[in-house]
Amino acid sequence: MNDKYILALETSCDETSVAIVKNGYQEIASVVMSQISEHELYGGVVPEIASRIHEQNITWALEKVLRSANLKIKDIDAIAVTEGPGLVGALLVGIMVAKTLSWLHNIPLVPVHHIAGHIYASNLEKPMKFPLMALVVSGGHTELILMQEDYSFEKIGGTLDDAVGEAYDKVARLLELGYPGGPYIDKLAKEGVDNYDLPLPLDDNSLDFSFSGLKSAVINLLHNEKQRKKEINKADLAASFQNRVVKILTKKTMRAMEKYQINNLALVGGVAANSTLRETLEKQCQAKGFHFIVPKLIHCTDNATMIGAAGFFAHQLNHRFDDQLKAKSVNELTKE
Amino acid sequence: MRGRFVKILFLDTSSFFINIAIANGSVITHHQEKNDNKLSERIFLILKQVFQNADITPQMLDKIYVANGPGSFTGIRVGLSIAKTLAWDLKIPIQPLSTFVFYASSYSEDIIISLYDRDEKGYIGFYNKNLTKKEEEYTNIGDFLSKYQDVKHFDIEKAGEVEIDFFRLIKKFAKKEEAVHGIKANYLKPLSFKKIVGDNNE
Repeated sequence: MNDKYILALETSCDETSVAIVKNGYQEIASVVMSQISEHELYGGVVPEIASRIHEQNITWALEKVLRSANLKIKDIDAIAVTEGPGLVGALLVGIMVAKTLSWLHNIPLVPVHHIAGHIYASNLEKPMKFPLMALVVSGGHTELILMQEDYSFEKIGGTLDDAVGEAYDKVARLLELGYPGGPYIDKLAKEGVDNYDLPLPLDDNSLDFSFSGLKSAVINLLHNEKQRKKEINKADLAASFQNRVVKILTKKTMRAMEKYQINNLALVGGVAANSTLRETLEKQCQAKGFHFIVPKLIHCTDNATMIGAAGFFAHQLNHRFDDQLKAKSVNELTKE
Repeated sequence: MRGRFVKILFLDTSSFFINIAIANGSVITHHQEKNDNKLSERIFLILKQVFQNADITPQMLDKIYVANGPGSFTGIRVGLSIAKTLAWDLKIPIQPLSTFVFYASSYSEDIIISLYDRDEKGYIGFYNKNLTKKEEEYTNIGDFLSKYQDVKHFDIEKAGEVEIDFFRLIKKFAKKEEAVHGIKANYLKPLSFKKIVGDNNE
């Protein structure tokens, strides 16, 4: 088989990222320009600012990637771009740039669903085995996706309200930690003990999640302690919150594996960078003899390499952008 | 470039009208149409059509002028993303121009060009007869115009009624070009924020 090079662009949220991926699993070059410092001030991503920064950085990111790969656009077999979901204005920049390059060089343009990208970050780590269960956890998603084979996705569970990363951000804001909240809470939780009485959210027989109740419980707890003029132990609260989150994610994931009789698990998305979640799921998988993949930290958060990894398969399956296709903000991975 | 005509692309997707023009020597192929919220879906269809009408390929271009604002934030970004990618990939010079300059080129006298945004406010470009900027700002348009009652005024919503003088633009900005990666939009309007309220019960 000839080597296939995919040029990938990802601008769905607050990272301007461009990468070149070989044969779907080998990262040849990658640039991720984070905008965290620009959004930190607001405690979350400001869509208009994100779009502006993408627009300013994208050609530079392209040049840097091609240079470090020592490749030219004509060496590229296909261009993969995140089509959504994400911030529409931000997605649009990547899509317009990708369409222009595809037009100029007559290279196939492959739309990639952001979540497919997160899942295929696994392939960069070690080959994915099917059937596979993917737990997708990020600032915008909390989903259980069942894959019978490459590029077939079936959503079997999801969040009814906040995504898990969103809950982390909100709780971090309540505790006056930084943004994004995940890494701060994860770090602080290691210094505390789980001794606050928080509920295990949506502890039912379904495969769905809910995190807004847990967040409200934290708000109420902070409020009540303040009324009683009691000092909050932030580390203990971080530990209590994180333990509930990890516990429910683990519990429902394992239930899904059992229900569908799956032995392969991939933990992906920005929250997959959470050390406690990684360790807990890995231990559980080891105990049950399951095959477990979690991408490297840099491939958990948004990046174009994962879009190139997924784009390789989407290209093989002949997924193509037509001229008129636009950015999708809310589209279902499974509804192709 | 000796022995053939210079080919220049003009791209303006920033306001109420899309202007795409190709100058091929002394021949201009200009397409103008009303902008709508389907811009990102249609822009490549229009672009390809204009190149076809002009009977050239993008690879034959020598230079690009792009409108970098003011105007619709999304419209500006669509135009800039395409133009910057073209210029970078083709390794040709690119020069951003104010949205106003496109229309100011039609006038050989001082001209105030307005672009309404919302309520009474909008963007104002005041240009002299040499296409040099006197003022550009985001302001109350009525108030601004009342200060300069003796200066001619043109509203971009009536774009169809004037003819953009592309040759004049080529002549005026012939020696101007900017480094492609550094090109930014000129949004003119300050970003305003509502307090981010994530939770009703916070």
